[in-house]
Amino acid sequence: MLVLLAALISGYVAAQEPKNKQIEIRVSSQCSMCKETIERTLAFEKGVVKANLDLETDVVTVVYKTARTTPEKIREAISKAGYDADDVAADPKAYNDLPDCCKKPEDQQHDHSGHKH
Amino acid sequence: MKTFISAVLVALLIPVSLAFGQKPLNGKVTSTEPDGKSVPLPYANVYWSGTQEGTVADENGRFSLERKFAGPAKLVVSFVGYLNDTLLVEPGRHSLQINLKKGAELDEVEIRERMAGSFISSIKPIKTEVITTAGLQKLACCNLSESFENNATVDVGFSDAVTGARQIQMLGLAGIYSQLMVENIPFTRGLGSAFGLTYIPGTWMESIQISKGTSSVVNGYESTTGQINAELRKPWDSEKFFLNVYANNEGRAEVNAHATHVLKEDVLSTMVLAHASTQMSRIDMNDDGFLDQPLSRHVNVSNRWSYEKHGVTESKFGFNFLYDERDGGQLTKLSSDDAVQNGNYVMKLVTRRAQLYDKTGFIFRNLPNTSLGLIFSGLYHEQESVFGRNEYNARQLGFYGNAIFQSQIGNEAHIYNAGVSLMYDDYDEAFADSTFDRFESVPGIFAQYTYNPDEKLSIIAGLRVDHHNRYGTLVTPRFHFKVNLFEKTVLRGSAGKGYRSASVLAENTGMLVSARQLVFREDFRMEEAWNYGLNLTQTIALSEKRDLVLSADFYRTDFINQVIIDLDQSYDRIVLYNLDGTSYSNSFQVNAEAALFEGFDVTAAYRLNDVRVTTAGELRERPLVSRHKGLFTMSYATRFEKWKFDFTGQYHGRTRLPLDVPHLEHAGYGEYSPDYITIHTQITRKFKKWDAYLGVENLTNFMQHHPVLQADNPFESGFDAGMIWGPILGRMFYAGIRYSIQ
Repeated sequence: MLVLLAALISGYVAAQEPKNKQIEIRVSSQCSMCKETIERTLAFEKGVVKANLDLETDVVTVVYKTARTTPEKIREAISKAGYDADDVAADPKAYNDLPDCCKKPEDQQHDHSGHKH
Repeated sequence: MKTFISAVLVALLIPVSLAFGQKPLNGKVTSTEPDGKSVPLPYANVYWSGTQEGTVADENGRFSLERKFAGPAKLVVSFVGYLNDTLLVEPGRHSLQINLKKGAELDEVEIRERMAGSFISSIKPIKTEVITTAGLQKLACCNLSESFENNATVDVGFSDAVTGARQIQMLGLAGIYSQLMVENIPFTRGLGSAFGLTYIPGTWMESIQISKGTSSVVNGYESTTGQINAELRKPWDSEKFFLNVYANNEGRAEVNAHATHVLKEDVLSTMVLAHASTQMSRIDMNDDGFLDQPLSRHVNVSNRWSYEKHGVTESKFGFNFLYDERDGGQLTKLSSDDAVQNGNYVMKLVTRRAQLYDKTGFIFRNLPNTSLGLIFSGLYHEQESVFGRNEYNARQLGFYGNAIFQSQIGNEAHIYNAGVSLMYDDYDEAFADSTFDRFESVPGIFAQYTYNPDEKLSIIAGLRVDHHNRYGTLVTPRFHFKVNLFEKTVLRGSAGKGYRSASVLAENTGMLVSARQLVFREDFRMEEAWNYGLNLTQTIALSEKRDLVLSADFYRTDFINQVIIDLDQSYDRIVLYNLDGTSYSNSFQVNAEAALFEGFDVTAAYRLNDVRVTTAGELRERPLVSRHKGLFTMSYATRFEKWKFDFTGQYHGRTRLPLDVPHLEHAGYGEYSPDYITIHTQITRKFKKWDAYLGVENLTNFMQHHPVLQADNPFESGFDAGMIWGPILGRMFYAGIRYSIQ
């Protein structure tokens, strides 16, 4: 009986268009603060169920509802937070507002004294 | 190491922080895992070397810290089990990341306790509880008076059943014995006392600092039982635009809007804060014919400016204007004019208040720890009111000025402050057919020395001498110490004197909404009291990231003179005189705060107040002050605070009722009022640009059923709306949204 039910359910699920999809987006994250910023941005993005950024690979894995958002919109949201997302470049204004440690190495100030930017 | 906490005191001593309106420094503290990965380090201590200005990083290692100096400054970052790091931060720098290395400097590091919505600062020598923005948002409504609902130190209650005025208590004594400041400028002196708390809208505030016992002499001779300082949102780092709309099921609506504009980056910025609220519905839950809350219209506008000349001077200035109109009493059916025609009891009160302020700091770049701070504020306050058949009209013109010089003797272990101040207040007051015109002019000088050899010990000794034009010379000595007994055990103590001059009518609206006859037996002298306190804070690590913070404190206040408002002589009169006998308060409090798991915080507190005063010739419990109080709060937030659930429960013990009030007996009350429990809860959902919240106040629906005695005969003897010990409003639902553009 249970087996039959399980088979029915799985058959039903398989027949449906999958509601949730998972994509991987390469982002220009630098540090754990970026991870926080990007995950926070995606947490409040419409249609995003889950987002996890791996700082080793700079790849963010996003689970989203296909009915409510698209990969393009998700990349756009990351760009607006100041980060490159695959081939979508970071929004320049948002990038400028990022804290120093989140900027790309070539724009960072490494000494402890700091400079005005 | 000893260098940094040294002028810890400075912040206290120069509470203005010399007003350096720079952009705050944002940053992140990380540590390196054995595998070389960089991970956030939560709850590290971050502070400016040689000052007391600091913060604690949040659970993600992030912090935002206001700048204390205009020039380059050393920032210290420390955490248990890690090596401290000190780095020089140039003025233009707004963000940085600090990586701490594991180390064994255990006994050198100081811990600061932190809770999501509030924490106890352990760097400051004076025990200071801080309610953060997160804590302020736990109760969305409405102004400063509601901000203490989930705090065990401060009690809030209605002062009477007609005007809607709320008053606080600290250490079991009325709020007038504590000092209320806004950004370290005394806020409610004189006429503002009764309604002052409602003059600061909740969304305007960034944080509130509460300290028990006498505070630094730098701020004046008041603050006998404690000090409350509200920090408002800053022009240079607030949202570009913020909007809050609130409504509740009892017909209260409220709108708050703030807009910020940076005219020149790092130099000049400004901000406009606006608030409007109204009580539209006629609510009479207890069916006594009196409105539980007056109908009201309230407008409050503030314009704040911040100017900085790099490394030389910084200035914060602005003004605010307030208009408040209330109609209460027997107005459940009729309009105010018709009700007067009809012979009903009507309360009408209109307040206009304008305030202007400037805080300017000058830095001596060549001399370490040396600066000069100047504070000025001007106040105009006007109140026109009618309570039944009595008119009460009052006007106050006030000026406050304070100049504080700070420097060091030899090295940073010895910091001193010295300065001069002037308080000037001109009052015109008329009640019924008596006038109470007077003016007070109080020039003063003060000096304070801070010894801070290392972070384990700090001692502050201060003395001020003021000359009051009516009361003569006032000498105010104060002393504070803080010592870290063990790594996670902090002991603090304070002793000092406090004074204040009473404005009895403005401070006690309960007396005005009563048929009791006011008997002024003599001229009042200055109120004068000693306050002593001891406080022990112990931190226990529950896990690597979670702490349990236990604290216990005891404070005693001994009055040398107090203006006694004697309700115990007879139900038909209030007798006012200088203390004749003893008056004291003993307050003992224990607190436990813990973050039990990720996102879940719990607080439990118990407080015992033993407050006694000589009235009607005998030492008795102070009436309408509860002996026992319990507090329990829970707060749970999902990741990124997408959802937030807050719960606050309070136990209020019984209070002694005034003697010889037959109508209280008729209402079924004996010697004491009953005890009761109140519960507040709120759910908040955060979206990308806005938040929505929904909550309930007074869930148990407990109410004081006869807040107005003799409500049927308000012009007969026995009528009294000032005998308040419990909630007047029942269960109340509210909802609102907050919208912001960064």
